[in-house]
Amino acid sequence: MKKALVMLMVVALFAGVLGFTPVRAAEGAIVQITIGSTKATINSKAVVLDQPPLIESGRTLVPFRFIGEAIGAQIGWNPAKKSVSYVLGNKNIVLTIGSVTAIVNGVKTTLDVAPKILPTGRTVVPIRFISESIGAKVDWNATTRMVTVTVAAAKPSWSTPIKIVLSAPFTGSGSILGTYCKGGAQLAVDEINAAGGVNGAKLDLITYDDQANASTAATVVRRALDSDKAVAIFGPNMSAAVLGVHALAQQAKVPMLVGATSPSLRYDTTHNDYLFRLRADDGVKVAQQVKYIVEILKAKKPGIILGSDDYCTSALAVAKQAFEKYGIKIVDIESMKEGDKDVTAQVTKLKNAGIDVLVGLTHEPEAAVVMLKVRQLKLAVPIVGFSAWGVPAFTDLAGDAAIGVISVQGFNPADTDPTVKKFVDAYKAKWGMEPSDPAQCYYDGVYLLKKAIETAGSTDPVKIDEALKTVEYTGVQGLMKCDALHNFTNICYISQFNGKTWKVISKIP
Amino acid sequence: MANILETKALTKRFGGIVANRGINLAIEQGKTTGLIGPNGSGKSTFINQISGMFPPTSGSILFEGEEISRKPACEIASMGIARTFQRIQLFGHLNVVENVLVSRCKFMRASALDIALGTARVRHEEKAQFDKAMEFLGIVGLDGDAWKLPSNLPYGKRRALEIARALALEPLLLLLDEPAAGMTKEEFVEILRIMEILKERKITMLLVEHTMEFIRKAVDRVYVLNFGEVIAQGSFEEIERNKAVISAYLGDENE
Amino acid sequence: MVLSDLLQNIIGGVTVGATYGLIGLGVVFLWQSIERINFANISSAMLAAYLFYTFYTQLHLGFLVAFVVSIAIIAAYGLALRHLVLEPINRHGGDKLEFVVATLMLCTFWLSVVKVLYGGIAKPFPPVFGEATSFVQIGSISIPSVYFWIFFVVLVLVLVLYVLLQRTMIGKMFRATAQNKEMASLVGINVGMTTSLAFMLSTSIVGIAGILLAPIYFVSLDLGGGPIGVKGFAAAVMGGLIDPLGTILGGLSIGLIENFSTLFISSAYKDVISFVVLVVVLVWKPRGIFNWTTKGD
Repeated sequence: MKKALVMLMVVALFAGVLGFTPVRAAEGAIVQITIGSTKATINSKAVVLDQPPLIESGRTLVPFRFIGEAIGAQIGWNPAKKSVSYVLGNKNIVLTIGSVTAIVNGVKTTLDVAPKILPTGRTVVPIRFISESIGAKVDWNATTRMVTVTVAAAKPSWSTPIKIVLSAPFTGSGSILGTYCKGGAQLAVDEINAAGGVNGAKLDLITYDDQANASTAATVVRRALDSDKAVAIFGPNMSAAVLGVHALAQQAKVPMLVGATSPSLRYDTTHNDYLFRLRADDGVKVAQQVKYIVEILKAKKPGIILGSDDYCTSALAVAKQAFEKYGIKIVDIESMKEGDKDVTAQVTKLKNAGIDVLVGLTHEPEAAVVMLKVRQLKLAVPIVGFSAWGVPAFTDLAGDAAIGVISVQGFNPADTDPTVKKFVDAYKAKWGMEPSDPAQCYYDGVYLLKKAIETAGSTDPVKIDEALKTVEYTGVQGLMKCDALHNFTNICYISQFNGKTWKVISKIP
Repeated sequence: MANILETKALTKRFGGIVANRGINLAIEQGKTTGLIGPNGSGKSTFINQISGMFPPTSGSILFEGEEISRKPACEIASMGIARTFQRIQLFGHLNVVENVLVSRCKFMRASALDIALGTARVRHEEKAQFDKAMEFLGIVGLDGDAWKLPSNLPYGKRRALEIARALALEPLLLLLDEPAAGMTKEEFVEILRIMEILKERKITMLLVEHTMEFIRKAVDRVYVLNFGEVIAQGSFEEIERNKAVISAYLGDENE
Repeated sequence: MVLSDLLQNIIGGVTVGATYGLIGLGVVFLWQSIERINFANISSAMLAAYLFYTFYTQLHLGFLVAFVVSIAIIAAYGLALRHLVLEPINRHGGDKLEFVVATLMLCTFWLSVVKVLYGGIAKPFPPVFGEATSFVQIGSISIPSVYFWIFFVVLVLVLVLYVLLQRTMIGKMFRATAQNKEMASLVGINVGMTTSLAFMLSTSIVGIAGILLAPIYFVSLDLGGGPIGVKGFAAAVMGGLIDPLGTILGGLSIGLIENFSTLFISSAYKDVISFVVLVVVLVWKPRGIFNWTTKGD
């Protein structure tokens, strides 16, 4: 027992030691060297150089490795080209031994003194040029012959590449959705990187499978935060999963941008400053669905077929309210359970209740079951379904029975808007399939993030979060701007299925 | 006459208990051999080993010269050893004739394909087996009860059914485990009548019994077990006079 | 409420009820043969449907080939069930309860496997039994053509099973083995073989059911658990676990009760009502509602 305790403490100590990160100049550093002396200091800590700094043509030359490490840059050495490179944040400097031409962020610059190899075998480089190119300040004290390099504390602080994580379901009940989530996000990332990245830094999208499951999603999000140090997290896409993990993002102060649509994820409920929504929420969609039924179809006697889970019942709550506002009474609500395959009795009752429109508030397979029965029993009223009634997962199952169904959709690839068309074409070219909801929202989301990073001038998640609340971006889903509920958009489509595609009836707003 | 079954040094241990110890027993073709002994002397253990319900610890069982002590029960049954139980064991959900019919499965020659397709051959065979089953029921006088469930039969008839089911295997050797146990006088007469028929049909039997009257009437030769060992053998008259037997068995259990 | 509505609901209830009965047949068959309840019974339906989908829709094998291969695999799976689940449990001294627990987990296992391999989204079943939207009109009644297939196959399967179990030698061997393995082997029945056959037949029946039901249930995880699994089992219990005909009738009763409770009471209480009816019926006649014989044994 005692032994175990000792072991545990040793392990803990080691973990503690290993956990200390070395002083990184990128977090701010002051480097002091003296000409002709091997003594130098980094943040007042003494270090010893293997080659004292020297002056040539009025420029101070220092060992190339020392200065790179001191300011926290990544150092590269290409023996074939005899070139030295430094990368810090979004800055990239390449020097060639014996050449006065340097390349800074891809632009050629001329030096006063060329880097050289001393007879001692040491490679030295001009300290002022390196420091200033990287954005540090250089002071020269002629009396003490001391050079002071001050690297400002992470202003702007850049992590390179900019890591973002997507948590989406690739297995489990929402597996096809994961393909769309990734398809949209990856397309935007690839486009942005091909165009030079964000302020020159590449985006790195890491995708994990959350199985549409809250506990798996929690693992994914923890990994994204702790191990990947993502600057932002996209997804999860399932509301239940988001409910389980959004607090983790809040604690870590990392923005989380989701395509989940449950009204329960609105800011007034979550009070999470780090949670944003990238597409219209279900409450908005149901309200639009009802509006269309009442104002355009002029229906007076709506009947509802209702599924049993939260997605369906929270839609019902909104629908009831919306109909009430119009002073319209719902004449019949028939419920079914997920997995039910016979709704003869429900459809018979709806038919006998004399409904003039059928409002479908169920998931996709149940929608298909209902439609097959509606056709069999010849219930001849307009069918206006909720978002699950407007996706291939429904139309594939229902086949011809789905013809004529009207649905409220978050996205319609048949939209002729040029931005949408451009997105749809690019998506098809890259993935060989048509995008479907929610691909567009993650595509927009990545561009939004890019804009937020640029506005913040930083990859600091807290600053990105601040920027996300103010930026405006016009994308596939029109103008996207964070509202009081942390929703970026309320766009939805009322469309009708014609057997092959969804014809847009109206686009709102 | 040849011996149809011989056991050599047959021994069965259950943990520390030796239920059968070095039993050498021979059953002569066409004869009825009796096996008697006090309760717990190892009679049922012996019969269970022969019918393949569990293997012996050591020793051998030769059936028509072939070693069968390691064979599974269904194979031994197919080779021609049938048995009944001290406590009647019937298939309760099968009716009377079906109980007998299951014994006829080894006589079915139809292939799996025939069965799957329900060919005429299968139907013909099944009809033939059904007739055969009825014939065996007739032997024990149960042909009138063919469609009843066994649970609806009186005790004696259930005993008879068990014998009919064993007979339907057309066994070369029939093991009867206390067939007269718990019977009324009338039932006893009936079972004796069945025994007579079996003897007429020259069926070799091993009869485990308690009822002396029954043994006297039925057997040609008797083995006496005590504490898992054979303590005497011979004709019933010889056994009756044997001192060891009288003290071990007859003395304290006189019916 | 007009007569045609009533008839329409009877047809709906009977069809879905028949599907419960069909699934129940697998339960009955295994119980009849080895006195075990396989809680992963319903998995065979899902596996067969996905196999058929893979062979027919994805690999473009013909209907007959896809069907035969799928069922052959399901039969082999039944054999594997015996050797990889039943026998190890028996060897370690486990009994009925252990088998139930093991197969319960197996059911979840298959759901996860299919979820990983095929995703959770239901897939449309190829219209091998007619288009989903083709209806046969009889007067004012409209019946989906696939319903006729279901009726037909259920009828054939029940008849085959009934004849097999009650009228053939092999059926008697199954039933004898189920009741008393020891005794069965003493009358020369190869218990090992009948056990294997029982497993293969029970998974095959449910596999056939799975392919047949896929037009209604879609190629979905719903075929591998959930309401159909529970109600199929309930149908088998209503048949006293031994009576194929009783099982089908039990399934039909459940289907009709569900429909009529929705029609005359409320769709919200459908499952509650069917459940209560089931419990009451089972308390009243625990040996199966259609078993009028006196106590056996």
